[in-house]
Amino acid sequence: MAKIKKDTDLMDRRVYRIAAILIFGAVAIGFFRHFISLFIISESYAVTSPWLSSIFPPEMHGQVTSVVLIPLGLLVVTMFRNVVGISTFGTSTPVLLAIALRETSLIFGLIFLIASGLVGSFVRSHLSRLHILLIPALSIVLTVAATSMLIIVLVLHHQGSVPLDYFSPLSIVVITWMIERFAILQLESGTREALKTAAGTLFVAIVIYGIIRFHLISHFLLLYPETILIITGLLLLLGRYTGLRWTEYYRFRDLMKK
Amino acid sequence: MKKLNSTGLLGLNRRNASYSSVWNDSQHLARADDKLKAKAMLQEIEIPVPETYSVIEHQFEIRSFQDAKLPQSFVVKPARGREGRGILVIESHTDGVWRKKNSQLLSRLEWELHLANILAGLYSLGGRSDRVFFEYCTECHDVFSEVTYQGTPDIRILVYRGVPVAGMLRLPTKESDGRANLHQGAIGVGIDMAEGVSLHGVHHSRYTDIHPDTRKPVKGIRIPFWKNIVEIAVKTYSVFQLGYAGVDFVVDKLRGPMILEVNGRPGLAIQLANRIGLLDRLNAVDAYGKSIEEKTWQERLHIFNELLIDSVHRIPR
Repeated sequence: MAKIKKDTDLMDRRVYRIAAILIFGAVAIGFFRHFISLFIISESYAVTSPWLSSIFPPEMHGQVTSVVLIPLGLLVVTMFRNVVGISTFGTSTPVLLAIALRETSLIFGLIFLIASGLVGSFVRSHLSRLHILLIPALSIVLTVAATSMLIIVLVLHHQGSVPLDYFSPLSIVVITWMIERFAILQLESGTREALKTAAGTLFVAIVIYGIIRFHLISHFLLLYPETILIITGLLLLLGRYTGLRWTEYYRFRDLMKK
Repeated sequence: MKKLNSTGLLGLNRRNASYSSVWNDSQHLARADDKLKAKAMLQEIEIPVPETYSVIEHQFEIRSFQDAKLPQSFVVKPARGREGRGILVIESHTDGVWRKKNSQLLSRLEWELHLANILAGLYSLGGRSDRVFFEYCTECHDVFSEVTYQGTPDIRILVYRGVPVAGMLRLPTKESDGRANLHQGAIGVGIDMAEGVSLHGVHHSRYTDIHPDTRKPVKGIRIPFWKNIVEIAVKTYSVFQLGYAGVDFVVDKLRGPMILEVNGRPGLAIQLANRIGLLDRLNAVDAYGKSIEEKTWQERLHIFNELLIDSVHRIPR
């Protein structure tokens, strides 16, 4: 079997070239569209009103914004995972959680997450004593967690502290998904590892939430969707980052001392 | 930053981008991940592995399983288990009661649940459904008896492109529950590749020189059958064709060295145990040119011996 090690320098150069094409190409397209819009006064070319929002009806604008924010969030997750070295449940979970937090507001999102997580793990610890098989047990936990979210919303609404629309479908999906990942990781690698990963996911999600809550950023992404090409270019560059992660400096601290 | 270059540390990013993804393709990884398949392949070229007594593939077989045919002491393993999860060491068993190595007793209900969970894929890579097998329970060799707690220590040899580059002795502790897994609290001890003698240890990423439970020094243990172990590790490449692999051995009191498993995603802690970054050694192997891995095992063993003379491959004591 002939196996030739790929020349790393060559690979690096290729990646740099593609990334440069993406980034500079996107900037060029953006400027071109901006330039054209100065001369052609037409609804669909006007840079001052985002063309994405002229395509979609107003009631869908929130969803369109969420979609263009996903690549930005993924860039942040990739940085945290590959450069900083924080572990998260999957790659997209922190992004989806951040978008869910945007819909529910930070505090109520966290209340949902923590409360249903606590209820879920309480149920799970009792189920394990009954010697229930894995998949039915997990399904019971998720059922209880989803129902508890409904109850929390009803209770909070009854007290008059929240309007009912805080109960967004996305937040239920994301939180249920997170509880499943947490339970599986807890079984596979122990509670400590699961808590560490949950904390990492939450931390990254809050950072992304802090970035995407600025309307300027989502507005810019709607105005210039070319930015997604720039993000792809940056992700390509991160894909060739082979240096140590920040957490590895800590892990290998005894070796570094020498 | 200067310090970093001098230690030549290999991080996860570089391991993934430049080593494991380049040298281990997914088909070969899948073969090594399935322990039953891996054992059969090793037996074909007469590499010693622990004997398999029996295999369970389906849920319905659990009830009717005749464990009376098994010897008193045996090990239960998931075929595609990872990081030593789901492994059950049984010391003795009578009708309906199983006694674990740590003297805990298992009832029939607990026993059947454990087997069912393995089949459901609870301990397996990617959570896919799995098989259970029962195998020979290795006995701890006398040289390790003072530096181990309950379990059997194992020896990991990191083999890069068919050439061994580093070794680590893994000692079970009370915390790791008799398992030789560093994540679970076992101790990793570096090995002098020329002599097969243990060096310093590492416990949870911190340097240590004594075993936390027996309080005995981990340094200076001469690993029995070291030359055989290295030779088998070199031969293993031809079986699995994983260019960046950890080959895990156990030295049995009666039967000598055997391969427990071949790991296609070996961790980075071996650097801490040997108190050295891996990059210099990996580069030294790469310096031998493009097709080292296609050479015969004798030629690769020769490269290993040549590298030993080179100072890069030896650890300052």
